[in-house]
Amino acid sequence: MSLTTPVPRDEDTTFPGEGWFYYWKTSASLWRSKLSEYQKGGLVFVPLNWSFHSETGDHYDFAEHRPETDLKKLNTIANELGKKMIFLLPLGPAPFLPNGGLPHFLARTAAVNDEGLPQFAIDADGSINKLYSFYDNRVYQAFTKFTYQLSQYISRTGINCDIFGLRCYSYCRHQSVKSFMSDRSPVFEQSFARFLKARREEIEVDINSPEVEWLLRAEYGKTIESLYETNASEAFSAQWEGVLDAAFLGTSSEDNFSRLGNQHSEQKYSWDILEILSRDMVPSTVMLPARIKKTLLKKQSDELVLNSFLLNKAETLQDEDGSFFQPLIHFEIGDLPTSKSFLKHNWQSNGLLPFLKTTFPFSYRLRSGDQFKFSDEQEARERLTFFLGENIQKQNFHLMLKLFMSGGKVVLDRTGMSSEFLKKLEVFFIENSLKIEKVNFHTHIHNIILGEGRMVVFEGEKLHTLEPGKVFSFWQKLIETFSLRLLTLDSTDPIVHYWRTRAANSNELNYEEIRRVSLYNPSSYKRKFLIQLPKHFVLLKVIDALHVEVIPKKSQIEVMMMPEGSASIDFGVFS
Amino acid sequence: MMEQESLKVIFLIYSPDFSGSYYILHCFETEHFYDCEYLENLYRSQYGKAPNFSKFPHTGPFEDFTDLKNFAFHLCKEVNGDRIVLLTLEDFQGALDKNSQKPELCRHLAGLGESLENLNQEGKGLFSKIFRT
Repeated sequence: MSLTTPVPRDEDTTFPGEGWFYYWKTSASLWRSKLSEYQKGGLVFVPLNWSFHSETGDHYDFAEHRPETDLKKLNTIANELGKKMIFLLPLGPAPFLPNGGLPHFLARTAAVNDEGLPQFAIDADGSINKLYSFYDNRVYQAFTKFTYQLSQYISRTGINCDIFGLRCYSYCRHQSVKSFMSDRSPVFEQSFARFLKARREEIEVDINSPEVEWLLRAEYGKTIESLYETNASEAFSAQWEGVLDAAFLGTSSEDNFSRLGNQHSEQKYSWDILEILSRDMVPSTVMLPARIKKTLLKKQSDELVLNSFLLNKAETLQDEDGSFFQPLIHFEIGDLPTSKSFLKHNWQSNGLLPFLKTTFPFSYRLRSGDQFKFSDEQEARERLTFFLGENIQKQNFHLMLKLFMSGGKVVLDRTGMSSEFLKKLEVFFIENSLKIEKVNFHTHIHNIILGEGRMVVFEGEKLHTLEPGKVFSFWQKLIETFSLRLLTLDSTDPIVHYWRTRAANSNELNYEEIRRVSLYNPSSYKRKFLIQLPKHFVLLKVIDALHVEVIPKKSQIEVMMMPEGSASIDFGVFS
Repeated sequence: MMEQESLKVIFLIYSPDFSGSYYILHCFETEHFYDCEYLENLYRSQYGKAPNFSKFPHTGPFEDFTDLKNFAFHLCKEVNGDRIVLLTLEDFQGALDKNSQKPELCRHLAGLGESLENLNQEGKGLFSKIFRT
């Protein structure tokens, strides 16, 4: 005998984090009460569970048999409760679903990671989700059928919510972010071999070199990823809002084994959230057990992810003045070192990342080459944008010059830049009669000014052999010359903190901008530190202080945080 | 079964590379995870040199399987384990295919691979097991 009535589950099961709602984990008759009890904001993200709607691949259940597949009803309830529902459609293996979201009949070839281990993830209640390859042609064909059936259902029933594609990643300090689409299974290798054969005639370089193979594998992976994305965006064209990249805490290979050993570190996850945000990705805590995100981690996730980063991504629910807190970014860094780990020269080796991590932690955004686009030119001009010469191609070369000419601040490490682009840069300076100021400070530096725009070109390779103190002073001096308006924390211990910004509203006319720093102490030690207050900044208020003492002093603020303490502090910025 | 569960069993997943040397990929027990820094330090103390990381922070190389077993045994003694189970990638994959819960997976893994007993383990009595830290 088995129970047919679903057992009511607690909030953590149906709302595992960041406003996600697992509709398949509770009875449809409980949806209204669950959603009305949810008080963390107006946004509800609903990941779509492919296998829940299609067990066989021949038949699709959208409210025909099981009431829990009635997405129209779910959307209606959310609307009636004043909540905005957003569908998330996984575009590859989803670690939070059994079989990575694949219907049972398609779960044939286990996805394999770079270590040769089968890919898996441990969810919040300790279940192991094995992931399967999305490089199998049958999977792609079935995905096409599913998106078609779902789009027909959405259109037929008039569901009016936005749909985002969801790309899933793990995060690990050693390997950085890793896509769950990344695969070394036999299915991948076979299809990659066919791709390689087709490309062999086009490529002149040594196809057997590890670097070229790495690039080709990445290119092939991107090609297949984009097939899934294109398929979905075309199926849901009217409601398609783009793709969200989400990195799931506790799902890297190292985290998996750490969790098999029953080991969790809230402190580590606290830092991971900030690292993931600095990559412009959504940190997700949905895979972590409820017991370890009771306090600080939950607060961090709600404040920084759900009610800030995701609001910004969803571009909705703006307050009356049309502004809400967004991540404060001072530095845009192109070409993640991990994206081409074989590169000998990168922002790690020339010392920029270690400097920023120490001095202005998480006030930077790391982007891989193909993400380097600027949707807001005004914002881009206010930031300092870094380009790595070795990765300069036609597209980012033009982007760099465009940014410089429109008043942006650009720093180019010319090490490894091809002679073609060095020549083009030289011609650009000559054609525009730009004066080059040359300075020698640990390396050769060229400073070029054009209106409000400024470009600094330097030889980063020379920094490799310098002692760390000199490299640090190089970056300190260089960044000081840009006169950025920055607030810093003076502390001997690393403090988990994150800066956000918003425009001033009608009650704050004395200020141009409001900055908020959110502080967390996941350690078991008391933390004491200072926030320097240079001119143009004023302390406004302290919010949600828990086990925290804030003492304003002349030109600085002293903060004392007890273990598990947290607070946010607002500052007004004026000219 | 009760006896089995009270034992401190360490799981070590290893893989050979193309040259025939062996590397440790991951190492854990049901209540602990041995991170690469820990294994690196142990390797350094055992061999007087740092591990040679190729693509990942894996610990090695070990010249042959005997060399790997010696290190595994040393690790088991170092952490006061009762036994250490050496698992191949295939062992792990097979166990993963058959189990979908953490405790079941660990129980299954305990019966696979090559197992080395730490016979020198002190305090095999009931009380020492109960009060072990």
